[in-house]
Amino acid sequence: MTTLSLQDLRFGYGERRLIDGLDLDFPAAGLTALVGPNGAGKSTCLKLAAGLLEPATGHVSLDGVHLSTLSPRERARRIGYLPPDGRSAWPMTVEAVVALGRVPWRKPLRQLSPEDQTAIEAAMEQTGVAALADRRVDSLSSGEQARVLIARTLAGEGDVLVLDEPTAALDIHHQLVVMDMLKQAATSGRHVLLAVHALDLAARYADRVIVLANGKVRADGPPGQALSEAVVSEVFGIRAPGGIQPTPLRELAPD
Amino acid sequence: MKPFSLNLALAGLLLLFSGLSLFCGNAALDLASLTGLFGQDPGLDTLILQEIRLPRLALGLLVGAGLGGAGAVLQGFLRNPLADPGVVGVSASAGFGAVLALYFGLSGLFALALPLAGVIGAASGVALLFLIAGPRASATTLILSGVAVNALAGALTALMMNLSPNPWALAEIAYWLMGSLKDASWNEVGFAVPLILSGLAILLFCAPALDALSLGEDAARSLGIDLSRLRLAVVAGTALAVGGGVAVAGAIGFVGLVVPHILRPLTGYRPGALVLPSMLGGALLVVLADMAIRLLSGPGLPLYLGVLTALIGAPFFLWLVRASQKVAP
Repeated sequence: MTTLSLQDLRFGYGERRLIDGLDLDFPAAGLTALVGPNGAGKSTCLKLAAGLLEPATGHVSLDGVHLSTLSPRERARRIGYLPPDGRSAWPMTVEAVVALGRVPWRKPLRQLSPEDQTAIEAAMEQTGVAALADRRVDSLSSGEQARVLIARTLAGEGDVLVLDEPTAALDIHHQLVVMDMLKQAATSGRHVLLAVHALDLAARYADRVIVLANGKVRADGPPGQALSEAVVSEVFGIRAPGGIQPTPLRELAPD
Repeated sequence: MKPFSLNLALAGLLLLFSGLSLFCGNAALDLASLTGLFGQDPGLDTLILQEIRLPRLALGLLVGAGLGGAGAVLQGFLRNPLADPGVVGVSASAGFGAVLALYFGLSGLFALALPLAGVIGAASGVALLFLIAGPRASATTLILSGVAVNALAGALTALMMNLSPNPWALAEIAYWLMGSLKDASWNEVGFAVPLILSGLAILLFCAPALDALSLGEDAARSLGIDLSRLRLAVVAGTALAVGGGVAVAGAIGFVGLVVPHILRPLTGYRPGALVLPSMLGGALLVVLADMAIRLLSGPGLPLYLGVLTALIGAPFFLWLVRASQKVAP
């Protein structure tokens, strides 16, 4: 089982401190939701965790090995990252986009290996986009596009998945579909770390919720504890009697 | 279409039209002159073939492949279908570098000076472009930055022409800038080969990373792509492939715009898979355009290759701008 740990992370641009001393340990797989108001440092925290930003102090380690000592390729094989707007600039096919998840595994000038092919097909199955494999991504709905991008991240087979707002711009039905997929990935033994604005989604799906405010951890624990009335009113400035509870919703039928 | 069959088809067409282009020109040649190439005592026909048509063909192939490949890589790297070595000012910068070498007579000092000056000019042009319009730039910013780079290189070239010592030197620069393969000799081919071929190799090396980059910079980095190394390779590859060509054949515009655009749907819109076909397609387009030039221009009407490609390319560019505005608001 991979362990991920963020130790004494600080990061900022000039005088502005975006991340101000983060210490987080992820000893076991599971779905962790990172919540916080705009500008709390969620995206920065995710980029640091994914090794895309070099912290000013502290380090991120995977199984005790500092990320900065891994080559970009080695790091890419272990950590998948989905940026907030990850759509393809070119109207490639769904399969071609999902295949990009295999980039860190591919040898130069070689075709996709059988392992690559298996991983791509499995990722498309898990996200329910296998039937769309030959469609151009610009012909898909937003919900379908979001699933394709998650399939791309899953195809990399990293033990750690870092996703920045995977449910943004989706209707409530597709939010649930996407979160179900991520929950499934977490249950199958991956660290899934995601930033999310919808607190009830965090409450509903996360094993652990981390509340960020001004670059610091304000609360950390199971949803019921981290999203308490006191924390929510202090961090978000809203009244939520009894804390944030998952809305009792259920999908009617898969689309 | 599978990349392999597309490349094979393009290579086949290239071979066919390369062969045909050898028989296209003022002097009518027959097949017998071709066999003379391997004989002991070449006749006049064979000499025309050997010293005029073959080097002209070789230079056309090299220059076209460089422009097509550089266009495909710039478009993939900047995620923008309007990027082209001519449009964004790389060709004009290479032209300025070469004019500088001509003006100061550097080409008399050592033979490689002219093509090298073209490469250095092109590299400065790409570097300047990336500096003012990074890969995050919108299509508009990119084109505006290209206009700026173009204007600067054009102004500096005009300054050199302004300062030129006599009308003959001025005319030489002016004609040379129009872009032509007509005075190609094995000498020019010899200078261009190492520069353009190494440029093409670097551009091909960039290709796989371009696919990953289509999801954005952060996604590409998360997939293990070293972006600063890639940026350096794009600058070096473009500078060598375009600069080496401009220095020996002048500015031949729009090849890098038109060719990738036509071939893109055939490669499934994958920017990495587009690089090699664009090289072959660029070579094909330049060979075809040069044949057209030879058929159209008579003794009294010397048409320039760069003029023809610009006449075809500019309306195409206009149409592309219109089309891209319809997609993105």
